[in-house]
Amino acid sequence: MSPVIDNLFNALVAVLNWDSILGMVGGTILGVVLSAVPGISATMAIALAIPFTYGMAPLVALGLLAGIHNGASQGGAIPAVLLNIPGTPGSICTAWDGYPLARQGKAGAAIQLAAVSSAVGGMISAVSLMLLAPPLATISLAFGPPEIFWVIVVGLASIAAMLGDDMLKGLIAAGFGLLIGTVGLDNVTGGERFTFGVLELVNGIPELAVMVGMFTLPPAWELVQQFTGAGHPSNIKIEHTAGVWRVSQVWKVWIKSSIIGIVNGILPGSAISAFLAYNEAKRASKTPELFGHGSIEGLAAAESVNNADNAAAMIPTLTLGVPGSNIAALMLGALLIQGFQPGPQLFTDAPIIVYGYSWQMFITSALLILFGGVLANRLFGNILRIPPVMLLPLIICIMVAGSFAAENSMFDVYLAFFFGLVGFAMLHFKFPIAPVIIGVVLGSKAEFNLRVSLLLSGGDPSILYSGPICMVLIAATILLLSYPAISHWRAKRRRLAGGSSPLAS
Amino acid sequence: MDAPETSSGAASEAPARPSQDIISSLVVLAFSITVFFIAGDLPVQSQIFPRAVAVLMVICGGLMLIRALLAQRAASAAIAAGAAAVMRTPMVAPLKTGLIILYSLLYVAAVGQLGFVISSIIFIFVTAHTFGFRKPVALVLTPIGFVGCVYFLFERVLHTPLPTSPFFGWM
Repeated sequence: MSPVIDNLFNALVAVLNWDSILGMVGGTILGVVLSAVPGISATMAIALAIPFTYGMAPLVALGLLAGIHNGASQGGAIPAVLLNIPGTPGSICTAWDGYPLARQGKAGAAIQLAAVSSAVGGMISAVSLMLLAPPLATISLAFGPPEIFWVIVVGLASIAAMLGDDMLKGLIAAGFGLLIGTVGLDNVTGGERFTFGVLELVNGIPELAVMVGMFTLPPAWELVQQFTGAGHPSNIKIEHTAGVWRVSQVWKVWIKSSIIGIVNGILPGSAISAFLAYNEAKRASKTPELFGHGSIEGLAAAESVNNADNAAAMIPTLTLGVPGSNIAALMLGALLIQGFQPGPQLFTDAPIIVYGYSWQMFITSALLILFGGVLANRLFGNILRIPPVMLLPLIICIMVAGSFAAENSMFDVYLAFFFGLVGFAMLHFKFPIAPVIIGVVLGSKAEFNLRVSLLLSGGDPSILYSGPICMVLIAATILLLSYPAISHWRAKRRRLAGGSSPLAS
Repeated sequence: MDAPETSSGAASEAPARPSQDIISSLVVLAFSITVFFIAGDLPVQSQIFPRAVAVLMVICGGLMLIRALLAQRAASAAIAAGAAAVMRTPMVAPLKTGLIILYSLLYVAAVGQLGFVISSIIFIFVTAHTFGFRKPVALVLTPIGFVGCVYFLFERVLHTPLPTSPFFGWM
C-alpha cells in the first residue's frame, strides 16, 4: 500500500480514541455555540481556545481546535437565519436567504440545511487536504533556504495585498509583525535584540500574547457599540418543517461551492469565496429571482463554501508553513506551541499528527449535521438572549485566564493587553491585523532562512535569485504587489469605456 | 470560513480620512526610523533583517504620507468649491469605548494584585451594572457562577494555575 494510505489508516486509528473524540465533540459544540453569539467570531473563538491546549496531548488539542474551527464557521448561520444578524462575517450571504426562509415559517429547515451544507463543504475540504497536501509536501522538499525565504515573502505579500483595501497599510502591518518577531535572542548569534534590559523579553514576545490580544480585545471592546442592556430575543420559533428542501435540489450547488471554497482556501490571502459561490449559484440557478428572498440554493451555496475553505487553507500552512488566513495563522501558532514545525518535514516526522488532523477536520465537519441542527433547535433561542453587556467582561476574563495559563506569567497578560490596545488603534486607523500576526509567526523563520542562505553563499546575495523556483516566487511576489494597482487601472478603464458608450445611461 | 472580519481589517469599512492617514504615517515613520537607529547598535549580522524591514516600512510610510497629503489637498479643493461636504467618521460611542478600555486596564492591574477570582467577579459585576444590566439575581449569580466554572476548568481539569491573591492561597 502507498505510504499515504498507510498513514491515513494509522492516523484514523489514532484519532478514534476517547480523548480525541471528546476533544472533537467538545470543540464542535463549543465552536457552534460561541459563534452563534453575535460579536464572537471564529478567529476570536480559536484565539481564546489555544491557551487551553497547552497541557493537552497533540491530537486532543488539534481535535478541539478542528471542532471549534468547523463549528464556528457554521454557527454564525444561526443568528443569521433567526435574527438577520450574521454571527460571523462568513454568514452575511447566509442571512440573505436564511432570514426570509425563517420569516416564511421554515426556520428549522433553514438551520438544518445550513448545518448539512456546512458539513458537506467541510468534508469535501478535508478530503482535499488529505489528497493535495502530501504531493505538495513532496514538491516542497525541493525547497532550500532561499526558496523557503521567498515562499514566506509571497505569503506575506499576498496577505498584505489581498486582505483589505490598502496594500501599503497591509505591508506596514506585516513589517510591524516581522519586527515584533525580532525581539529577544537572535536565533543565529544568540545575542539579545530590542529587550531593553527586560528579562521577560529575552525569550522574545510570545506569539500567543500577540494573537490573543489583537484578535480578542479589539472586537470585544467593539461590542460596547451594541450595549443596550438587553439580548437579542428572537420571535421566530424553530420547528422542523419536512419537505422544504431535498438533496437533489442542492447537491450540484454543494459541489461547485465547495470547489470555490477549496481554491480560495489554498490561495493565501484570498477571502471573497462566500460572494463568489453565491453569485455562481445564482448564475447557474433556474430560479435566480428567488435569491435574496428565501432561495434554498442560495443558502446551500453560502453555507457550504463557508466550511469548504477551512481544511483547504491548512494545505499551504502544513506543507509550506505559510498560513493563508487568520485562522490558519492561529493554527500554525497552535502547532508550534505543541512542538511541531509545519513544513514538508512534518509529513515524514509526524505523519500521524498531520493526517490525524485531516481526519479530525473531516469528522468534526460530519458532526455539524448533529450539533448544528439539533443543538440549534434546543438551545439557541436562549443563547441569543445573552446581552453583549454581560458577554464582554466574560470574554476578557477568559482572555486573561488563557494568557496567564501559557507561562504562568502576568507579564504575558500585560503584553496581551498592550497588543490589544495597539490592535484597537490599528483598527481605528484602518490598518489590518492579520498581516501582523502572520509576520510575528513567520518572521523568525524568514530571517533564519535568509541568513542561512547568505551563509551558504558566503555573503553573495545572488543565491536569492539564481534558482528557477526563486525566480518564480519573486515573480509571484511582484505580481501580488502589483495586483491592487492593476485592479484599480482595469476598473478605471471599464468605467471610462462604460461612460463613452453611446448606450450608457 | 475565515473571511476578513471587521475587527481584523475588513474591506467593507469606510476608508480612513486623509488626516487619519497623515497621523498614522507620521507614527509609522517615527517608529521605523527609531528602530533603524536602535538596530545600529547591534552586531552587523543581527541588524540586517530589522534594518531591512525598517527601511521597507519607511518607504511605505513615506508613500502613505504623500498619498494622504495629496488626498487632503484634493478634498480641501473640493470642499472649497462646494463639491463635497466635510468628511467626518467619528468613533461610535467614544465615551463607552473609553470607559470599557479603562475598566479592562484596571481589571488587569487588579488581577496582578488581588488574584483572578476576586478581580474577575468584581469586574464582571461592575461592568455589567455600569452599562445598563439591571437584573439583580443574574448580576450577582453570573459573575460568581462563571468565574467558578473557569476556576474549576483551569485548576481542577487542566491543572493550570490562575493568578492568586495575597489574601487566599487558593484563589
